[in-house]
Amino acid sequence: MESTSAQERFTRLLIEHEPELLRCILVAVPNRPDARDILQDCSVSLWRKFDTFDPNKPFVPWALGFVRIEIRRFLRETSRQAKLSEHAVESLWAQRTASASRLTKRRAHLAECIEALSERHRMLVDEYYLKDYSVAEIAKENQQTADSIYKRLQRIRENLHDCVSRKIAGART
Amino acid sequence: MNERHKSQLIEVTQKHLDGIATEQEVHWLSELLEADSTARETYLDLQDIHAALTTSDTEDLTANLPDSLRLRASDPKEGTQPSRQKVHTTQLSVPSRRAAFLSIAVSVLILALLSTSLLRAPSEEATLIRLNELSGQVTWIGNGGQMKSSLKPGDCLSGGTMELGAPDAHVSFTYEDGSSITLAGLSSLRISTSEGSTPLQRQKTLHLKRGRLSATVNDQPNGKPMLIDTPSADLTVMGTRFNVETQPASTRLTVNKGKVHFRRNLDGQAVEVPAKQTVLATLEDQSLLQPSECPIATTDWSCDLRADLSEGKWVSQLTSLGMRLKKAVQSGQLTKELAIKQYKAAATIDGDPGSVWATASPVGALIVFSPSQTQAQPIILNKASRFQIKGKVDVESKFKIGITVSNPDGSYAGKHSVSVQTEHYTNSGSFEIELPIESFLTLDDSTSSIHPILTDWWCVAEEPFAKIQITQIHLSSTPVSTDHAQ
Repeated sequence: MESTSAQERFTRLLIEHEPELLRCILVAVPNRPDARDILQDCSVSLWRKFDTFDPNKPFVPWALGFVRIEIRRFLRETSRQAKLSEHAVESLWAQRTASASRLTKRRAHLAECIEALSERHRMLVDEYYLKDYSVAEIAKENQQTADSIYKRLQRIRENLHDCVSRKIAGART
Repeated sequence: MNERHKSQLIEVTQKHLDGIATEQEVHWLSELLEADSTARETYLDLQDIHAALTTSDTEDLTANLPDSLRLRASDPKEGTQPSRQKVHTTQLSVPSRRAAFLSIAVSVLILALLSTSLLRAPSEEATLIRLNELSGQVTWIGNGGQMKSSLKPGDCLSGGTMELGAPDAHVSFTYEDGSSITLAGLSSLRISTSEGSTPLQRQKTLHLKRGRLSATVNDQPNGKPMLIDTPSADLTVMGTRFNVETQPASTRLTVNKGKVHFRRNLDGQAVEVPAKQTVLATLEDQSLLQPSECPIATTDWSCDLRADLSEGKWVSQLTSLGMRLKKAVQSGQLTKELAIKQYKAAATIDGDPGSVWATASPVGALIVFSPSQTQAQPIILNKASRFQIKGKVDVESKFKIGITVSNPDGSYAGKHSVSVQTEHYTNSGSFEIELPIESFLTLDDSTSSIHPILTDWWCVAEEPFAKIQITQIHLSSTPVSTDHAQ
């Protein structure tokens, strides 16, 4: 009975905080399938050690300890593609923690900027990020070159970045 | 940072986020990020956009768009999805995750996109495997966090991780193409497939983090072999029968039928391992990777307490002695010179002897030895097999000694245990027990019969913090002329 309750609590916490954990993983491992695999390995480690979790404390900082271990393991063991150095990753995490409130504000503006995207651009973002299609697959389906699709994707993200920066600057004045 | 530099940073960061930056570009990016906080800020801003879009599986961005604007139908049943090459656990879960989200803000499309606090109900993901049989502590952690610990034969499962939390646990399952897998002992296996137009065309991927896996794999579709990766090796399988045993630092493959492509992670060396051959990859050994004939079985085994250990804590006698001597010196009972002399004498005479102590686990205080970690020779059990075990235990603790055995082809054959009664202990808790094989299982005494092979020896006390110490395990028996590979 107790075990079932722990299981439910764990499942609830994991589901609730999974996006934040995934975002932290993506800082170091941007490849989305790899990041999701790391998250899956983390969830196993978290469950194994769940009896050491203090329910009076927040879940995310506790879970991030495991996330970091899994990421370090991944960075050392995987040779599939070029990876950031561990020092660079540590510096990014430190800065990300320090600028958490700035990033939260940016995210709020990002929502508005995404809303302002044209329908076709939203469609492309949806295909690439939500449906997990590769640039080559999207290009083939649309009878365009991968290069043109990729450039469009780059422009969309640069536009989003600029849009958020403008909104932040506008909010300050 | 000037504009040109910033523009280059944005371009390389985007390429890195998309996984297409070159080694040289990522090296450049790493150096910049290590040194420049403005560069880190730009990277984090871009990365946060990438992450926000990636974690936005709460809603389809195009949900409110007319069908005419869609690049392709999003319903996989319509068969318009292109074939996928990448193999990852979550590719299976995306559509069902979306369907399962409970959102109070579902009407606010973009807010939902960025939400981090929505709860998902257990999803109905695509079925990958069906459980055939299982025993002991088996837990399933599906993609997305849903868990199942009350599994039963016939259950159908999707992508996720199978955790076997006890040495006597085992589970066997089959894929839709009839390929079957058995997992035994303390194990962790992540199961996934790529998408395919039919279940039979999916590429199967197994990530064996730890444990022993036996597989009978039917012929796989062209260009889509089964992939098994472990911390120390990658296996590529088209259709065959084999066993893999993985510990954090080593992987042993034994092929019974067909052949398996085996690649060592340490240096990328790869070999084809044919039937009746075995190969071992470790994270330390850089010598030539070469399969060898499966050796003739043995009937004797002296446990190497340190090297054979899978679960438990090795405690060096010298370390204990060192601590005792240090305390004696601090309390003035011994001079430093005399302590050093005693320490050196012990080290010279005995090398580094020690014992193994049980560690707490979900199933109780546990020790597991897996002899195949140190020797390729299978250890067969016959009617004359006898275990001699020496150790020490809390006088009030009861515990069980167990063995896990496999068939000669490496497939799981069962687990057997015997309770150790307190009358076996001396007043101090020391024990020296001799257990004939019939204490565990009944064996046919015919020399032509198939003999089981010892895969794990374990002892467990229900009380998680019970103190059990093992100082010696020895298995002996009269030799039999059995070819284990038959």
